[in-house]
Amino acid sequence: MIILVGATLYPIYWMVVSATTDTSRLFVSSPDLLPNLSHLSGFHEALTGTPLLRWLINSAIISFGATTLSISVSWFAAYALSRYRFHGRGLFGLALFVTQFLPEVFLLVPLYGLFLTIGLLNRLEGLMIINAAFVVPVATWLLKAAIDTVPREIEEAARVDGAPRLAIQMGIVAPLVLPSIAAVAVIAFFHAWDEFVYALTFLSKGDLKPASVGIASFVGELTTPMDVMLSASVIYVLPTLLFAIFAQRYVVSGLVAGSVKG
Amino acid sequence: MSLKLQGVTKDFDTARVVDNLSLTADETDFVVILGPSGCGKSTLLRMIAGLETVTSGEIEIDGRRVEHLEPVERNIAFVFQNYALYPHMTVRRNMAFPLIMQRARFYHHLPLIGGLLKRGIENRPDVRERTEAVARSMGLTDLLDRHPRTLSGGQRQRVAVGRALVRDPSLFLMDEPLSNLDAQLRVDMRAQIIRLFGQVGKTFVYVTHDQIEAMTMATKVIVLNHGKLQQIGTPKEIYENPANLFVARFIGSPPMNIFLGRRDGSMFRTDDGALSLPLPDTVLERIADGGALQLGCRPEDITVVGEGGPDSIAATVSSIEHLGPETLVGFVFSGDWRREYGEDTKDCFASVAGYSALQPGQSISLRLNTTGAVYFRPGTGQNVSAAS
Repeated sequence: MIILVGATLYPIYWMVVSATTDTSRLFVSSPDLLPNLSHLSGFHEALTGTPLLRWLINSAIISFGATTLSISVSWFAAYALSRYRFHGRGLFGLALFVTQFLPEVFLLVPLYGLFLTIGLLNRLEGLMIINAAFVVPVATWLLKAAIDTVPREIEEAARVDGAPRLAIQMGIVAPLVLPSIAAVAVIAFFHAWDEFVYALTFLSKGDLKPASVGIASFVGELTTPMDVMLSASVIYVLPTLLFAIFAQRYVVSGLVAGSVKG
Repeated sequence: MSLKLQGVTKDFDTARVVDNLSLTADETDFVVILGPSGCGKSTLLRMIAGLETVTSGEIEIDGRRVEHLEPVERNIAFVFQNYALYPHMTVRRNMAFPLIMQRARFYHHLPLIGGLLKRGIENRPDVRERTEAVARSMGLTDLLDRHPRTLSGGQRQRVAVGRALVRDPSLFLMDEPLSNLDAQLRVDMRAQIIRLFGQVGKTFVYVTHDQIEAMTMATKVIVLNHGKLQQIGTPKEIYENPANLFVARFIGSPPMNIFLGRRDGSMFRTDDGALSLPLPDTVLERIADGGALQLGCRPEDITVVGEGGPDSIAATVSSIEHLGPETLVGFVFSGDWRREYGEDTKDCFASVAGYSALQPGQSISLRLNTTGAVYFRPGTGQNVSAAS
């Protein structure tokens, strides 16, 4: 366990250390092992000398959009899969799984062509749709499994009590599967925040770049300002951390307890 | 007539679960639908509620055809077997929920803010008063701000009943509401529901497989088997004069004793000659001489007598069950009381008041009270002794 945690955290630690180390000292044979808090010029440079804030805002817009879209689309798909009996239900569920076998890059060229035709290239909405599309199959399965655990009787009771169908989904079922919705939100947000290849290909205008692409552009042909790039990376990681902490509050179990006899 | 069913039928794919059922009930009726598991009783109740579609037939509530209406438009309340409370809402919100829904506009259903807006309705004086009045009558006042998960089973069930009461429906539907409670609580809740029925003066339709609930609560019992109506009647009629063998065996614990025999002149005689009884005229009219018959006799209509008298029957005690106020004496006519059990070797029972000192294996003499005897036609199982 400790080894695993160490292996996970070490690169992040090293990123912080490198961000606070002067580029000239990065490639010496005895590197500094502790962050040098007096050397914060990389952060200063990243925030003032580069359009990092603009990139982060782009990333945030794409990520929030993709998250909202993923939850909305997968919610209704999952609800239908869980509650309604229709022809091809099993096949539909399986098809969702099959989409996961394809590497995402496979679709790069056809999607590029498609987006070119419908004018979604160089638009943040386009990236939202793409990122959501890759998350929706997994999200649908996650939510379906969660909705399956909500007793039908609760919904039937709400129907008898006069709740409209959409209100039953939003006001009764959704609060009961909030942990799963939060999990989907985390998955969708991180997927969109980290996504690189599509953002690089589909957004060629500089002011539309998300942070993942923007930071990569620091890598120059001749020089790479390592401390600036890694400082930007640290800043880039922070929002995801905050989001994870925010979402974690809702990932609590036992919400359904007490509704029906167990 | 507050509830009227006419030829109601339900098919699931190829299986017919409710078959051509008709029924009427008014405000004075506590209707209990009774039957074994899978007999279609819950499906029938759900069709009345609108939670299940009707394949064919008509349902009227308060003189209004309702088959195509949503549950809420039928003005019914439904109490579920597993309570079906909303776990994320307080008891107050749970009970006020039907009232909130009556008053809610579309924006009350929006995600996130809808929950807060609903609090506004919950706090309106009329909603508050109604909720609190019902809570008082159900003894839930102290629990109003708790969540269902912190309540005991009995309290949860009271909340579920309270939620049904709060909006004054014209029909109360209950689907085995007591089956998840322990024995003591069940007796209490039973009394509470009977009291409630007296107070609200509305039709109750109550589904159960527990015949004691049916006998104690109902004014009208409907016995179903395989989706088919077996009998409608008061508990007394169903108990004393079952329409067929199924009802006879299903009602009563232990069930009615059945003896196989045939008509011999004006007498009923078992094939081994152990039992011989005069037949009533109704049976003589319907069964030809020599025709096969089944005699049904409740345990309390069989008396254990001290010594063999002129019409007494010799038997052997096979089991003894002391129940406190009475003792159930299991017996067989043949001497072999340890015989293997099989389909056709059902024990017969006599009921003896108080504590009986009889022992298994002991020889006894029995006397049948012929006024309680009913006769069935083998095969169809129809009661042939009832006056038509």
